[in-house]
Amino acid sequence: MLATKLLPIHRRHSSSGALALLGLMLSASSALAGDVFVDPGVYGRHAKASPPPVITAPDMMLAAPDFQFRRGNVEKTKGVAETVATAKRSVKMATGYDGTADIHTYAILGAVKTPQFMMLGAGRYDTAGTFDDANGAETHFGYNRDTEQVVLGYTPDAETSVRLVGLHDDIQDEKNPHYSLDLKTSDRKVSKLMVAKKNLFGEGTVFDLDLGVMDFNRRADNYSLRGNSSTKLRVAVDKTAFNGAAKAGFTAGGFENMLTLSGEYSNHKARRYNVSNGDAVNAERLPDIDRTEAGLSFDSKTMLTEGGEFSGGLRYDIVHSSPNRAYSTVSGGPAGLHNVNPATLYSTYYGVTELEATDHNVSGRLRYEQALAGSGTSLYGDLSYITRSGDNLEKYHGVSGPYANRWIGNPQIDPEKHAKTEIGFTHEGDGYLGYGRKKPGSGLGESVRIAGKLYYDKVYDFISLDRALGQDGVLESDRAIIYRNVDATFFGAEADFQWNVTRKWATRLNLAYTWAENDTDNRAVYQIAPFEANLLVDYTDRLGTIGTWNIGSRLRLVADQNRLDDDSSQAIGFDESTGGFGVLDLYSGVQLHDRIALTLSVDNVFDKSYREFLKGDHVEDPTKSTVYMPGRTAYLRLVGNF
Amino acid sequence: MSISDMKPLSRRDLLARMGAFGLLGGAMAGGLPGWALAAGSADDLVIWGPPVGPSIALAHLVENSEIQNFAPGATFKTWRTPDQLRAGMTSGKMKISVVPSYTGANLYNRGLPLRMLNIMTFGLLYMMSRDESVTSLDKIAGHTVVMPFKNDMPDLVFKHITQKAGLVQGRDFKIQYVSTPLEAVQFLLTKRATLAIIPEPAATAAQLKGLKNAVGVSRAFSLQDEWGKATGRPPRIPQAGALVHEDLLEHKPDLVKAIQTGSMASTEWVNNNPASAGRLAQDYLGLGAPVIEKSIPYSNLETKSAADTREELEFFFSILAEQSPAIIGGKMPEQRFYLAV
Repeated sequence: MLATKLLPIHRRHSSSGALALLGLMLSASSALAGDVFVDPGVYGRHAKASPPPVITAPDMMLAAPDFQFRRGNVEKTKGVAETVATAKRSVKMATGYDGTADIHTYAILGAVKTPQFMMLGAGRYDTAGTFDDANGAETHFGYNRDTEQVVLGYTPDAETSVRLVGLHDDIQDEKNPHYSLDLKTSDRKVSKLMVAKKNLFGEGTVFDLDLGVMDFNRRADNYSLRGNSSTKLRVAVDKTAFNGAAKAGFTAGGFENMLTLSGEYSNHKARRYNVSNGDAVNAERLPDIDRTEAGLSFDSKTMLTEGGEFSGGLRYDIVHSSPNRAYSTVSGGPAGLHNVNPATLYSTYYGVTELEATDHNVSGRLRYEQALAGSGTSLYGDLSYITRSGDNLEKYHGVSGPYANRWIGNPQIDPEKHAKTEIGFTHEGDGYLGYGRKKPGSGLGESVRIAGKLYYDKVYDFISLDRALGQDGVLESDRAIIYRNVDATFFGAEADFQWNVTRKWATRLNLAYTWAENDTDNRAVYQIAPFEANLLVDYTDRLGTIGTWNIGSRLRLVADQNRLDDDSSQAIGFDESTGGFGVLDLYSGVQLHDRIALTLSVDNVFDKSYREFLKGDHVEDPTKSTVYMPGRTAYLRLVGNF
Repeated sequence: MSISDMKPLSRRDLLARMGAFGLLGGAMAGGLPGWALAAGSADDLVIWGPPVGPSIALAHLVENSEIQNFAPGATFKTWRTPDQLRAGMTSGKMKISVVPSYTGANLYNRGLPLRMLNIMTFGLLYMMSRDESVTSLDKIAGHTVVMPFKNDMPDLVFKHITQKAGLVQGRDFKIQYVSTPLEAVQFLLTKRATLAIIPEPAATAAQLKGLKNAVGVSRAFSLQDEWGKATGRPPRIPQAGALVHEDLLEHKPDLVKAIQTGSMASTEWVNNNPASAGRLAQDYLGLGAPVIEKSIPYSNLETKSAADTREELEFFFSILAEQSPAIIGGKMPEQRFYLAV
């Protein structure tokens, strides 16, 4: 059982999506990939929706099938199945059934490695049906998903490595019970070439070059997967991105330094069609946007004292975007309020006529971490100023219609500036090797890990969804959905306590709280996760001479979120009051000869009826609703290796 | 050299005897921090062992509830240096430990109240090669073989099997001696040598390190297999097992019996669950879990009582003593050395 790291409190998503995830997953091939000290990508559009993270090869055997309404800051322990899934064998297979939504899963992975070459191929297929909530009501839900991944590697010598990665993820026939459109397909293709070379510029230097391309296509409509006797609409989204990064690491004067040059060009378009009216375009949702980004960063770290490490970094980004079809004729109607092009909407609501935008963003960060000698404790303080430009949705979304249904981006919206202060500590006892792993011979209270952090993030020009009510910079008061810059404050606290009581018993308590205020309008920021506590209790033991087994429980307690933005007449009204709840899950596993493992779990043991406060995040829309979660369900998985 | 020659057990001698385990130079260990004091009283049983394959079975054993019934608070600990082992065995503070079989015989013949309980591994030695064409003993002609610990057991075994194969050192092959198996691994990875004799788990570590550094290291052949060909006996070498102090045998015979029975079951568990055993090894011995997982199938782990292995052991000792009587203390151990539990 491996310790789960503290999860970020904010539901903030990297704007790089699948590529960032792929880069992080494959960072083992390079000392520098993923080590970006000053990274604007840690912040994304608040409450952003996107396709689910791609399940990459290392996780394909054990990752739970996607269920966009399922939340939780701490995952259930993977248990003894992990030794089978991670065993050093060439071929692995898995199959499972998740009663959450009648989900069937099939996965396979094969890898071969020689001193100079490696090849890995993996595939996974999930198919889901409807589900019943705890009240017995059937929910409009389902999808089919297939993911394939290939990695080719070449290591000509100890100082050089080359990796070529190809990944395809396609989700089809995804039904959305919380939204008016279903997703016929969400298809992602990602390719990446990574080259790493040591000592290229001299002894001790490291050089990385990453080149990637991503292609994303999404098709949605309101009639293929549900009955619809009214206006039939469909949406087509296409995005292609080319990116690259070159990183050079070197040591000088006791400082470890890294210089990074990165860039990306992307083209992003989305159109909505009125199928009932000859399939004419009735909205240029994203009017064929070209976006170019380039960044230069330098960061450095050194040991200032015994056990005290200081890190600092500066970064400059230039972000240029322009829409090519903002003036495109929209005729799908119905006529009148619908047939308005994006340029007219930008001008009407913001007075913006200059559609091209160029941002010059400066970011920086300082961090100091001090290990207290002999105590197993380290403290840290982190100051950062991170600038994030608005993304294509925030800048260029252009949907017309009845006033309250309009949704308009602002091409000249200012970048967000996050001035964040964070302090934290970690203490690990002498007997702590990981969650569920106690050092043999250590005392009762010696195998503990305690961690905590507090942060304060003052956000200048926070990009917030809102309703057009004649605010400063907003020219209309018709309650259309808009984007505004406001000042906001975020505060977060998290604590994590892990105790390996014996070599077989372990327990973990995790607490997380976030508070956020729109300082400009003196109201709560929308979609902020309520206070949550998770308690895990786990037991693992040997099974004679043939294997091992485990059993465990997760109790998840979520408070009622009483800081809401739920009034669409005064604000965006994104939130719904959902109440607090507690859910108990039980799980168990057995493995034989580290070759085959069976996992059985029961979620929501007491058949609790509840809704998550944070809404399903596969589709982007501030009017989407909450969904009642499935009642008591069982989950079965079989994993094997050869 | 006469089998009756006896020499004092010097620190250097014991150092050499431990060579076959590949302990010195940290070939396998990732570096263990100091142990916290175990919970429990000073009378709690401690089973000792070096950071090698058989010790994993004993680590599994102490977590077995049956052993805890006989000896509540029983723990497993590793000894880090031969000096620590010598001091512990001599003083009697170490009541039971995994040791090389010939070391057990040596200590017994010097008058220490110790008896061999079992053999837990039947061979850890491999010829590792950067040349894939070397797949058997007869293919080493013209090569230099890197050998850790001159005049220790691997050296003596290798000399015996090459002699039986008609290979002459100096004419058909050369031997370059190094201090430790770790050093032998480094010779391979830095391409200063093509062949090296390395014990598990260092042999597997050499392969895995080679994969990371674009250096192909293959398992050319098993010295156990060549031993079988040379001797006309089964392809296995009774290399190491548990040595028990007579105090423990006298005062807690049921415990000793439970340890023997449990060791057999635990060895079976380790063989059946290499990935889980790897994690156990990481916790107890500070060894890398992936290395241990891959090395277990090559560690020939099997637990048999010393009495049942006596004939095999005596043959092994006789071959070693032909070249170096001092390695077993100058004479064959008496029958009572081999416990029948």
